[in-house]
Amino acid sequence: MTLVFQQILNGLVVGSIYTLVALGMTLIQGTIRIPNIAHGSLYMVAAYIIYTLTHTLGLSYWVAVAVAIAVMPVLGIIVERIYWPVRQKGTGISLFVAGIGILVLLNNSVRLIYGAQWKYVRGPLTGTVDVFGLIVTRQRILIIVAAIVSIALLNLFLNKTLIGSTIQAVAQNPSGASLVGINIRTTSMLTFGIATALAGLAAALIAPVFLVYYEMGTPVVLRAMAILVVGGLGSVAGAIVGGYILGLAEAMSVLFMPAGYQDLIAFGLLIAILTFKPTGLFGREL
Amino acid sequence: MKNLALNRKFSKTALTANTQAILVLSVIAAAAVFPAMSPSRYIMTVITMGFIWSMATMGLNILLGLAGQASIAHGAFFGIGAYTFGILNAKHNVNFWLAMVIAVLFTSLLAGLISLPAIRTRITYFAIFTLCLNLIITSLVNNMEHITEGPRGLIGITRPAILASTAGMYYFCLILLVLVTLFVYRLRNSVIGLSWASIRINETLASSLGIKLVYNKIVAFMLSVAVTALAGALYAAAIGSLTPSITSFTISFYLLIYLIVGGPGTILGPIVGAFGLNTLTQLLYALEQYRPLIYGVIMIFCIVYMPLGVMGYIKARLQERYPALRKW
Repeated sequence: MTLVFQQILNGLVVGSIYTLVALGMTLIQGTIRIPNIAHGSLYMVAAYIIYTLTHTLGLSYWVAVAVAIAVMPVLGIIVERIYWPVRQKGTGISLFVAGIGILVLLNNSVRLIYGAQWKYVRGPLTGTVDVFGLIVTRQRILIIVAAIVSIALLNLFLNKTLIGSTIQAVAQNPSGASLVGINIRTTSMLTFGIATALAGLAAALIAPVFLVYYEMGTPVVLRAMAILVVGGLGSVAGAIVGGYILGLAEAMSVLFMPAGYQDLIAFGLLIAILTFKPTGLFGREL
Repeated sequence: MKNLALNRKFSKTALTANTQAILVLSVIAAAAVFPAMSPSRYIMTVITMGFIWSMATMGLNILLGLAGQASIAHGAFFGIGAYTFGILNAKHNVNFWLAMVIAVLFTSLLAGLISLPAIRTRITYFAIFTLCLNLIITSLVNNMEHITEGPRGLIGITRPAILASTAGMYYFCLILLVLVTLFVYRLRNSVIGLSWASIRINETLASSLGIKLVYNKIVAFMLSVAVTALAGALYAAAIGSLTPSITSFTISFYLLIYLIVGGPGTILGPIVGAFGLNTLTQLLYALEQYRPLIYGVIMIFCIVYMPLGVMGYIKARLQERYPALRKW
């Protein structure tokens, strides 16, 4: 029974990361209709920023987290500038292909700079806490709490602020939004900035738990893709629910499946859903 | 006067059409006499691999270039072709040629089955679907150790005496590549190729004209996979051993990059893309380390500034100058 609770906790940790990444992707997809397959690579770059700042420059972890979250939107806007001309020409699949190009470029730049070894980031929170008989490391508690707080803040931002409602307006009807004076391009850059900041936060949280590696973004972005299709493209609630469910499902599967096949849950689920519902669960066109 | 101008224009067109044929034939001839210059075995192998990657990209060209469906599972099908051939050859001692035929047939039948749910999805969903499929296939190849030997790798794939030398394999791949290219050329101008073009341009309109979407897409998927699987089997024969990484989605990405850079829908685009990116960067030793990085940069450049790829760009410029050039 302890094992079950332990796995639920692990599921919540992994689910938090999936949710933060998927939220960014769903914002981009929902607002400006770009399936940003390179989002996982941005997440990976953020983890390397943390590694460089804490390990090479010897800064404190908290400073590194702040710098990563501040720097990531800049990178996000650069990526947006690559996507934009492709989006203007608007041939369905080419955005996805451009994303693959960015993914390959980012991953291999990092591999050339840092090499193909796994890197270790030392977190500030060491030691464990005893929660109702469960042994939990402090970093994992930090991940769960920080994810929930940032998700709540994002929702407040989207629903209660003027800038948040411009994003929602563009998501609902781009031409209508530009008619009332919303600059689509600015909103696009803003969305990319927020989404990459979320990815930066996710990477900063997970870096001390898992090792940092130049391909670490690919499995995460593929799961986020699956979450998007299952939870409805552009749906914030769907991304949150989907992210935690997937994290929990993967963690629980260890109890009754051989470990090698654990990866298959997200992709098998996605294939199954698309087989019976080719436009995703909520039927929105990509 | 007007007549003269027309005449000149006509002769110019005829000239370029001939020039193209001469150009292509001389490239083939150059490739055929190349081994006579006694290049090193390394260069021969690299060029043979160039033929194989060109063929794999040519397979993707049938689906993406002609029928307009962007599959990101072709790396997996390349790997399944290679593994089917390799397992039959190395573990069951099946005759080389028979194993190659079985590998191609098995992989394309499998693709036919997979295409049934896959073709129901459209555009980006199709890409996501096939990408997930690729991951599942890689994981299965990794985990089914009793069949594929898993991460240990499958070794001991042999070639018959006629192909045992590097030159033998070189010519075999060259001949097959020329045949496949001719096949794709004929295919593009055939009735089915034209139906695929109409599906690519406007699916709804095509189906309202009575073009069967399901049938056409399944045939495109199966033919496309058959060509890529043949390339996979050749790869297994040329290298002699296989690891699960050959089924990985990275291969699918690379095939996509070769095709997009070369020019989707053109006949020579896949060859230009595969040779230009794979072979050239492999021959320049200094670039070896930077290969994937260069792929990424060139891919982004092409998708932004040259969406038709190198050959598509050249073709468009030529057609601008010589409007009669439509068949190339």
